[in-house]
Amino acid sequence: MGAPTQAIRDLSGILPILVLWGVALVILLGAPLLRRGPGSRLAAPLGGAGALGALLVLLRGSSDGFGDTLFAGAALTDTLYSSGAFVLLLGGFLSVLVAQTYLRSRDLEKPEYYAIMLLSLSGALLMMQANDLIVLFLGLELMSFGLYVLAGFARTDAKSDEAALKYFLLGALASALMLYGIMLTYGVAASTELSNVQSAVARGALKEPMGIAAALLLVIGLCFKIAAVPFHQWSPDVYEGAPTSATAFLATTAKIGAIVAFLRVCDTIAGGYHTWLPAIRAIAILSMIVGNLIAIAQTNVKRMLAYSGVAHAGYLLVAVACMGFRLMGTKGTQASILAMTGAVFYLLAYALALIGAFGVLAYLSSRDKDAQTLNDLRGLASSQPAVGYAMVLFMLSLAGIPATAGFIGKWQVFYAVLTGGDVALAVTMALTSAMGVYYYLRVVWYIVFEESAAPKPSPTGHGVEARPRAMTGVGAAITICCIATIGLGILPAAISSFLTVVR
Amino acid sequence: MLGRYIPLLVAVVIAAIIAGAMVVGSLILGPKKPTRFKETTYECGMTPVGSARDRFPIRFYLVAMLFIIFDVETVFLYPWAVTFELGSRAERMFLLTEMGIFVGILLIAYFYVVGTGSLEWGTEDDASSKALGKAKAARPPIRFGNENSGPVSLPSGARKAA
Amino acid sequence: MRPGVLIFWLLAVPMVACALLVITSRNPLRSALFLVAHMLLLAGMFLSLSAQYVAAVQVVVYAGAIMVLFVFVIMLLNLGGAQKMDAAGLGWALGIAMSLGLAALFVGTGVWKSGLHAGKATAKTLAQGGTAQAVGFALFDPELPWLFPFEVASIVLLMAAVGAIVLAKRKL
Repeated sequence: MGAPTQAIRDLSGILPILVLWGVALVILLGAPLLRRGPGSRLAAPLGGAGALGALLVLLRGSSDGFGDTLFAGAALTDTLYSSGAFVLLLGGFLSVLVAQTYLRSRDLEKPEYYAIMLLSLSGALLMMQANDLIVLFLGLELMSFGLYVLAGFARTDAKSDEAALKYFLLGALASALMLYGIMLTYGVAASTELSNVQSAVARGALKEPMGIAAALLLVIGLCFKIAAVPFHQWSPDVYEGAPTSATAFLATTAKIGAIVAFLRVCDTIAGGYHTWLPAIRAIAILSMIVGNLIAIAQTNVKRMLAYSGVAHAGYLLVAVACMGFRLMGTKGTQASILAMTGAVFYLLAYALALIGAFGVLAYLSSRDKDAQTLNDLRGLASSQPAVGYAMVLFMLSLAGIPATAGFIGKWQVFYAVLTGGDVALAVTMALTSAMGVYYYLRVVWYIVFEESAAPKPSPTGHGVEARPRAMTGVGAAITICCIATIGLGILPAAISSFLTVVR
Repeated sequence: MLGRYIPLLVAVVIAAIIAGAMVVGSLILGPKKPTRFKETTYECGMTPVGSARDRFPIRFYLVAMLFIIFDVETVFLYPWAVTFELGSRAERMFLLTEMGIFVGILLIAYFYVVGTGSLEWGTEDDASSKALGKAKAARPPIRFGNENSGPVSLPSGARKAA
Repeated sequence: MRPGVLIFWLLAVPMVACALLVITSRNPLRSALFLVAHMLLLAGMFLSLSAQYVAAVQVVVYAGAIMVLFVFVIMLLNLGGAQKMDAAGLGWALGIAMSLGLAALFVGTGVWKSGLHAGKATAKTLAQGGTAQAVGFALFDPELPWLFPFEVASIVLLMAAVGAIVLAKRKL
């Protein structure tokens, strides 16, 4: 194969990333025009077109070269990447829709927001495609830089600044620990390429102190990013302080990118499972219990969703733990493949429900009021039935009630871990899920059964509630999330052709 | 291997000795008769105006940040430059393309920086230039003096002439 | 004592001393200056390990640009003279425990050696030394996986520039 065809093959393998970069650069170059005046209406459509374009390119791309490495082994394409990327880019597109309305209503809209979103998405894609720990790290940093900035995007809001600073400091610590892990990995494997790491693990690298330290540091670094206990302290403050649209984006993007990377890393080092599997199991169990317990006490919906995100990180870590079963006989191998598919579906369900829920909060926010607490949702079902019942649906999906996408995701992960024969994890998952239903249903209670605190919309239509916003971005996002959550809950097979991970 | 750095080490040692000798020498040899005026901040013979501990405008931070970013870019240019000269014609074309992409992307970053006016200085009516104006207005008349006379105000006519 | 070992101790002892002074100095600017000294000594350490390029980068980026940023930030905050930095007892204890833990980790992994394999890349690099040229050959070799991360680095830098402006520019 000649050099030019090789280059074309490499570039077509990362085409979604190239699309994101291209559109982001166009937005940045055009920033002076897009900032104010008539051009400012174009920034959000450009951002949406970037995410949607990358999604279409991904869906149209052939799977011919799947399994091959690109750029001399720096990156790869496989079904884990393509299914994860599908979820990520869909989430990114929906986040643009939410951002468009929310930022405009709070007077925060700037073209940079969308450029940073697209670059952040490309970083998460790089994490998924990384075949080398250095590329994984670069992707992680590219993604995280964007998320730090988006968390602090409301620059005059002290809470937003605090969120950005906290997120940055703890994120930088996590990155440093992860870099130490990569360095020690290089020490034991003499390479950072995943295939070489895998053969080093097969030679027994994870029995050596340096290998053990490397594996644990990598695990800790990734656990920070998905906010698993005990590395979750940043998440409630960041979720609460960041502008709601940024919260929706960072909650989903960081989780999707990091979990897919986590699955890949743990799949690579499956041969040394005795080193890291106990740690992952402990972190998963702690996250499920602590996340669900603290979420019960929250009255701020954003904080509650942060702690629920900790719990969901725990459920997803159950799927990551299944990677350790790969070399334990046929059942174990089956469990690891089921867990990959299950985790990606779970991420899709989680992203839809979470973006939908934050979308509802964004929908209810205006220039002088940022909807965040349970009180803001009081009586929503009677004052704005469509939005109210949409929020109910998202809460039910997050709780994992049957006939929603969240149930299918949880069931798939549950089934995978049972196939792997880890009853303790399965039981914890079931019990804590039941515990979580309480606080999700409390939101439902506030929406459906509590009286609205806000004044009823006046008959003249000048009330606060009488804003017809259904056709704006956030309305579209909520609608898509609703349809997809119900659709996938009833017909999960509809999307399995994109989401099944094959090995 | 390390022998090559001995001249460097010698240069460092000589520099340290000379600098140290100057400081220590002036400490030992210089006459010291401190007075109140000698103890004040030396500001080119002017009486100091207020404290030197002043908040820097945040622009300095921005400039330093952008400096780091483009500094890191040049760090990548060194290994490229010393590799480039050894390559064949085809290899040079390849290297040129790769560096072209790298620099091109950062050129876009540069255009963005310029486009947002982040490198402009003092055209914005922001708080820092307002503060500067206030400080200028509040500055006391420049006073001259020495340790014998103490500070003396020159007649206003003399100041205008100067 | 072999000259290499002597040089190591000559660099290591002041380096650790400077690092300790960074965190114990009460004047933030003095801390920053000790950090510069620490970084220069670290550059010397890299040089003694024949990582000449990394040594140069250490001076240009860390001792140069990043320290400028540090000093600007200190001036920005207008800390005004010596600060009494009384951390809570728990904070100190946690910090000391964490740094001791990390130190134990690295010293431990080094002492137990645990199979530091000199891989292909390592052997080649050792033969060439870590000059800018050797780094260039590795970085720009299309057979090695470093060209792609190199290009990605430019996007990361772009993101950093945009992020700095979005967060710090007074009027956007």
